[in-house]
Amino acid sequence: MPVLVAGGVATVAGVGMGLRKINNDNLPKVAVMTAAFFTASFIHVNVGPSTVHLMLNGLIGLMMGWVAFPIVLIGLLIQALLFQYGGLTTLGVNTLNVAGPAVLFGFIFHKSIYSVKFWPSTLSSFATGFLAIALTAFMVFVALILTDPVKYKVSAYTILVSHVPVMFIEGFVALLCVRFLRKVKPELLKDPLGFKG
Amino acid sequence: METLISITNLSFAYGQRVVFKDFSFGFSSGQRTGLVGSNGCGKSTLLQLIMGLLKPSAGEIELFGKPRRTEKEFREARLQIGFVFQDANDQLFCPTVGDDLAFGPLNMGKTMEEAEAIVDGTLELLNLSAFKDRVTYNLSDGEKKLVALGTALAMRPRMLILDEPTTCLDEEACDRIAKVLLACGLPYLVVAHDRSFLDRVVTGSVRLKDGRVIAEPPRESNGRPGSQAA
Amino acid sequence: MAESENTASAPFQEGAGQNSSILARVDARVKIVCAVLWSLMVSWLHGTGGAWVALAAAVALIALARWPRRNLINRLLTVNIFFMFMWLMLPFSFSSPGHVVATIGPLKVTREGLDLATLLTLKGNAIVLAVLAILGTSPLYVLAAAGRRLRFPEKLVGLFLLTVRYYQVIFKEYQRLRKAMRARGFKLGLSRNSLRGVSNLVGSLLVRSFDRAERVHRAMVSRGYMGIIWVRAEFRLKGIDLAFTLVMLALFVLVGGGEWKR
Repeated sequence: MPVLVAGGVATVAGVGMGLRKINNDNLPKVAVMTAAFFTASFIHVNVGPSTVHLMLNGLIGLMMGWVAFPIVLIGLLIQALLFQYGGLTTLGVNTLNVAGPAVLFGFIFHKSIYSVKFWPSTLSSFATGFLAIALTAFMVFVALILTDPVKYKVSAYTILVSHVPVMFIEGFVALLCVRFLRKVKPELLKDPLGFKG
Repeated sequence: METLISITNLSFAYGQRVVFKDFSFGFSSGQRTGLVGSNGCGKSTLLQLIMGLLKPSAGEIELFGKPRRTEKEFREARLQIGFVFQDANDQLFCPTVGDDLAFGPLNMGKTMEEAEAIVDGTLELLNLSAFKDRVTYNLSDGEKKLVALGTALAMRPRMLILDEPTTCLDEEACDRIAKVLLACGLPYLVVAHDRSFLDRVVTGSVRLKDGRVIAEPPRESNGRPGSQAA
Repeated sequence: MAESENTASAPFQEGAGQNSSILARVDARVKIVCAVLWSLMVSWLHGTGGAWVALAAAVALIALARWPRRNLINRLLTVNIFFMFMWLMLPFSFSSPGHVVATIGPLKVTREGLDLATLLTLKGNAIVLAVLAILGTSPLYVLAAAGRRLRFPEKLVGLFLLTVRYYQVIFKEYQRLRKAMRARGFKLGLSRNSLRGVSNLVGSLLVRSFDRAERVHRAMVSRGYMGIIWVRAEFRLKGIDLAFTLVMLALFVLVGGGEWKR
């Protein structure tokens, strides 16, 4: 329970930061992009016998900065209401786990993905996707361990290990998406909705 | 006849690509004008310049007798122009048909009750009275287009601008759109590729080519032009 | 591959529970408050006693909502796949302090582990069923309008409304892109080629959506948009809302009693 509360508080702060960047002009655009990211999260990739769905939080962070928080919150809320997968009580901590890494690595790499040199841009765009999921998985791990170190030990480690292939998938998808966008519509990667203005 | 739109010496470019240079254009009340031209000739750009959604690099846009430069000036003019966008999905963003029709009036400061009355009146004009609480998403393409036209009419505008109102619609839907247009009694500027539709709803056409206007000679098939004049 | 396609083919299941049931007529503001309190309370439970009562109450609620059976079974299956993983892990998670009730090879099944798996499954299903019955019987936009009345941040309400609307549009676009890819023999998998396809799909989706975002914004500005997405929903508390609140209170007491007696 303290974990849920702490996660909720952090999410409220993050969402607050994100909402400050949203104004009447970019709100409709943020909403349409949220819908796009939400739709993209339905794309499943087969990994051995199971499938994983894309999260794309690195990409969200690159394009949206702090606004990743409201975007992820809205996405998870709609998911909770339409599919009832996630509960309403874990909304706060889940949003933090997905959006926190998005903001962090988006901030770290949003300049270097634009490098004209091959390796810096390749590595940093891969790292954005890879590390964002890695940190998400690690935060879920920590949340479970903090909730009850004995009861959830096995579950926590399982989640950590099972996310390793996902990290690579998200890394490659982020890398190839950044390449696609640089070719097709480069302004989408450069603060497209004017959050910094 | 009152001049509604007057554009003088307008210039506009997307980056390097010049669309208009020293472009002039006029439109008056009582006119029902078709705007034709090949893809990429700048029809949609012109419409958005008129609405103040794009900013020209030079030139003057006058709407309803007043020059418009700032966002505030354009906003005041926009509320008097009913704009129907090409993709009805872009225009209809509210959950239900009634909400979408009420959106413009509410933004203009009408009360809920007044907006409600406008919604009912508009639905009647569109012959869609049963659709008030229908969820927009579930409508057919033709119905969406009619409702999109309704959202423009609900603002009680002084004129309409329509960007390809009949693309991807079947004959019956086109027919319903044409009927509403002819019945609404407003002047309008309509972009369309569909000749037979245009011939039915406009009194004259202009062609955009290489950033200038060429008057389109009336076609022989253009029946009953007199009866269509407002 | 077929299974993963199916999960994506029917993503928008709103409307399944929107019938003329009593629950559908309850004020959405009351519903939101009750659903949140219910989720909080049930996730707080520590003993299976209270959890069983909660599940029974949730079943009663879903019956009251007259939720379509097939849709309900599908939803419960999806939720319980998650709990199945819990059942695969938790029983073996207390090797040192637990009471061993069985041994499978090197793994020891403990009573504590079984109890925890049972508890989580009961709680999870109790929450899902009740929230479905309470919130699923109202359209999302009515819930958003209710949230606005409950003073949720206006920007979040606007974002929510528009996201729901354009999710429907963009998902259709996604399906068209996907079909076009499949027509050219594309298969989702873990190959280099497949990941490139997925990335191009995501990229196209983002580019198209960005263009759409600009068009939507223009269309809204043309109609005098000033920051508020109006919803013409009326909210007035009626007798039925009081009755529903009392029922929920009674359920809270019952569940609390079950927890207390453990």
